[in-house]
Amino acid sequence: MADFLNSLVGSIDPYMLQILVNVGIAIVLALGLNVITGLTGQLSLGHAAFMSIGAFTSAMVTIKTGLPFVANLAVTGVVTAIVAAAIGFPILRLTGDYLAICTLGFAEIVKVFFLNFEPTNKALGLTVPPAKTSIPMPIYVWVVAILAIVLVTFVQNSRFGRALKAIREDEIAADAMGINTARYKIQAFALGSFMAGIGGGLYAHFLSYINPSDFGFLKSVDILAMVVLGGLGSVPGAVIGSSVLASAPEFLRFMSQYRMLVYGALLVFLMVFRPNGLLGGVNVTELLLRAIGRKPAGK
Amino acid sequence: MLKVENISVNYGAIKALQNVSFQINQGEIVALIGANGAGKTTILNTISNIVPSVAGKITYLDKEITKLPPHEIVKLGISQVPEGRRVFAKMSVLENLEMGAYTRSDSEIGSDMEKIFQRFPRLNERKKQPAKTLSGGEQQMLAMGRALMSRPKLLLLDEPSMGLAPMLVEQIFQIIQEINASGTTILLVEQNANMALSIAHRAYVLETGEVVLQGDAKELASNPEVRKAYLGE
Repeated sequence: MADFLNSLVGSIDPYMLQILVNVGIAIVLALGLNVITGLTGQLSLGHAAFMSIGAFTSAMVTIKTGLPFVANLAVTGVVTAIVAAAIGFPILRLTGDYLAICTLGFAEIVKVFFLNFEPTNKALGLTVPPAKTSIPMPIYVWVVAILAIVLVTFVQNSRFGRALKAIREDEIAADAMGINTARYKIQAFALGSFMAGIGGGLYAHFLSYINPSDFGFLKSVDILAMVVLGGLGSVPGAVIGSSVLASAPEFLRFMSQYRMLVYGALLVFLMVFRPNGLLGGVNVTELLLRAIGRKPAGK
Repeated sequence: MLKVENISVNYGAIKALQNVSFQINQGEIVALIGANGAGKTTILNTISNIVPSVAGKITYLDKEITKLPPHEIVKLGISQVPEGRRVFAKMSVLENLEMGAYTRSDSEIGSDMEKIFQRFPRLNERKKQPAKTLSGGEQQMLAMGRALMSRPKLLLLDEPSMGLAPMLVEQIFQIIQEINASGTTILLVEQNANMALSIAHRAYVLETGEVVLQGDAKELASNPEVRKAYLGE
């Protein structure tokens, strides 16, 4: 099995493989933020901080313990979620712009912490040893991305997901409906960060080198742009948004020095013509049913 | 049924409520009337504990609920229709009603929803529509239907007449009386003192955070001071 997967991954052009792995990690990160910002409506500008907590935790677990990689990812996700819940408890009382600024500040603190943290080599960054597994890292990335899609789709349609949407729509009304808004907001924050942590762990082991400056404010904004571009609260939207934005800088490379200009223009045009995102307000199931000539249920 | 004793609420340095006391008996419609900023909405939000009180005590069915979190209070049977309706705009009428039953897990949710649709036939016609596409009156009906889905023993209504045409206001107030007749106790906050006093059993008049008058609704409606201050005479 491991041999087959290794030869499969080996048969993909290395440049293409890099792009496909970037897309996979971006999907995991964007779906996590989609739970926090898209579903629950809590604007976070610090998602990359949870990615970095995951990346460093996962790297340290590999360095210090003999834990197999799957267990490593589970530990990483849980640690990140616990940190998120602890920080979410005080800051999720805030709403809107205030919460955004607070998450921004938290992300800076995390960055400065790792820049000065002796065990992770401070600003030199950390070289990550190979993961304790025989299966190639790209396979982990894609499997986790698929699991993330399944998980968030399931959450969205669950009783828990309905409560999150109600909080997004109107928090006071949600309170009045008997929804424990404080608890659900923290749970959503922890779940989104759990996914960011695992995304960070995959990133660390795929690149085998991590540096605190990789997880700055711009990284958080990149992830937010993927979610907004795809359509807040839409799972297919987050997948398409992260696929487009994670691969665009590479596919636009033929334009050499103009590529970031085109990338920026792409964002501007999309927001002008599709302010709700590519798939915002689009019911994908319904579209698919229409496409195969069936009427959606209940219409 | 509900007893509010010497409640005080502050918004920062501003004293929103001072030593407010009143009570509601089972089966009543009690109206709270008063001008803008008198503290009417604050009282409802304090009962639901969306706004915390700094002093005083609220007892409901012989149980103190002053410090209970909002979702626990809903479970005990107190449901609020918030000011400005606050329906979940992007959710359909059906989903809004389902959210109203969030604290319940029994098998009678479906039949309760049918009852809501019988009471508000307009909502039945618009089941699948997003709530934001409803008119103001329909949104008010939806907000009331949503609150009823939790099977409240005590329904808190905040300005149900706000922004509605006079004909619709009469219709809404008639529905409030019907809800009351079917066994739900009602606390009604209104600026439209005339309408409120016409359906209430008893009423309290609030002025800058204090109860200044109280009594039988019919008596208050004929009180010259009330008529002068709130009924436009």
